Amino acid sequence: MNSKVVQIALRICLIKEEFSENEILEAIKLLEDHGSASILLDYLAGRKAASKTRRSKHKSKSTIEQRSRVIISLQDEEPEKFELLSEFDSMIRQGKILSELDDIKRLGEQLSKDFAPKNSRRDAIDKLIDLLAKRQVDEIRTIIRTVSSSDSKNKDNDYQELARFIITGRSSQAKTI
Amino acid sequence: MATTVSLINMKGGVGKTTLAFNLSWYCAWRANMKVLAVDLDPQANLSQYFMGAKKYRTYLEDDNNTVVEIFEQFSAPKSKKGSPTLLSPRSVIHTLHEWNDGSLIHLIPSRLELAWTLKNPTEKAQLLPQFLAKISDSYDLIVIDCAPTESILTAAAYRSSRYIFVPVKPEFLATIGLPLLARSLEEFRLMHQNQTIEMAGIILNDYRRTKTPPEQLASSRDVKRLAQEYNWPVLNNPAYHSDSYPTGSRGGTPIFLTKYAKDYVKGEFSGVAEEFLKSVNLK
Repeated sequence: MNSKVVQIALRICLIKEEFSENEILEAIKLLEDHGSASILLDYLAGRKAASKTRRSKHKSKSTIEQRSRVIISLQDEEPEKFELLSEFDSMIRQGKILSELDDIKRLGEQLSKDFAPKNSRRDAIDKLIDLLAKRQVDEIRTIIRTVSSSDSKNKDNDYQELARFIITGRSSQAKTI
Repeated sequence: MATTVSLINMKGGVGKTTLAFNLSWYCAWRANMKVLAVDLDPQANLSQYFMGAKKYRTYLEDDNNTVVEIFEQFSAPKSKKGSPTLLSPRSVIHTLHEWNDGSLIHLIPSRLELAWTLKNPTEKAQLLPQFLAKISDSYDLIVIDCAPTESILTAAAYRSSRYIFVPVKPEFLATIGLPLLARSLEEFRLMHQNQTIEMAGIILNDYRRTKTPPEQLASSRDVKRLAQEYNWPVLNNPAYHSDSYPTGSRGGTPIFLTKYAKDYVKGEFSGVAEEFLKSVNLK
């Protein structure tokens, strides 16, 4: 009997000593179900991915919770402001508006000279919402309206509308009776 | 009482509006001042720069007052309305930004119809200084962006101002604007000897910091020689060329808040702005 066979026998004894019979049977079934080691690794990788997804779901949930915490204090006392900011916050987080960190910084800087978020989008959004929460509802509404209409596609339209207004004295958005 | 400064040059396209906008922002944002910007150009570029195309259009559509109403407040009163009444300053001044430290930027916007004022200019030049005198105590600095003309608008700017700055682009045709302005200012001084108005500085604008073209070098030399002869100061800090200025004009942002603007560009502009403030004794 060579030394390698003895080593294997010793390891099997060690496993039998360390784990219960059920655990060993489950492990054998696992190997049977998933065949070779590489497939087993794939399986393990899959488990890792699954656990990562679970973690990211958890992370996303905590983001929502954090966002709510920033605005939540307004819910009872200033429901209108709460509504406005909740929607605005959600639109930014979804990247529908102010999709780049720089865009958020520019807006924040225009609102306050002290606006200096860390270099993370999440922190910039939180600080921006904090800043807006201190303002009057009408002011917030105007700022949101300005931001919503200031993406580049709209800016092209804005130029066309202004040009039309200068030439004809009317814009296509002018109210008609 | 506010210090009133006009940015003026008979030549168009020398950067008056870009400088007026960025200096106004700098003085409010960095120097914590109360700034009123006055758009005195029928092209209304300063108004569009500050307000953006949409807000500006809406402002006009809503029939809000502009600088035109200052000049036309006593024109052709209608019998139904009776005698003309004084224009309320608040109705002409548009609030752009107000910060917690008390600094602010307000704007008197312009519109194309200001050109009509030129058609019937009788006794209108004094209406702007009269109007500004009433609100002067509310501001530290009033910046007037002038139209590239020699007209009642120029006279109104002179009559309102303690200092004038002349942006000059270092190219041959742009430098011609300088002697034209010098003559216009001298004539004004002769006619209004009780008013102190000072040429505070020539600002070389859109200057190339590296590989400066020979034409820019030659024009700069011409400007400096003429300035020396007449004892006009030329700012030591030129306003250097940067593509970030046009980017800022679309976004309505000053150079120091413009996306992707290089730090050295922001630093260079700070140099211009600080020298500007010293020249008008606000630093």
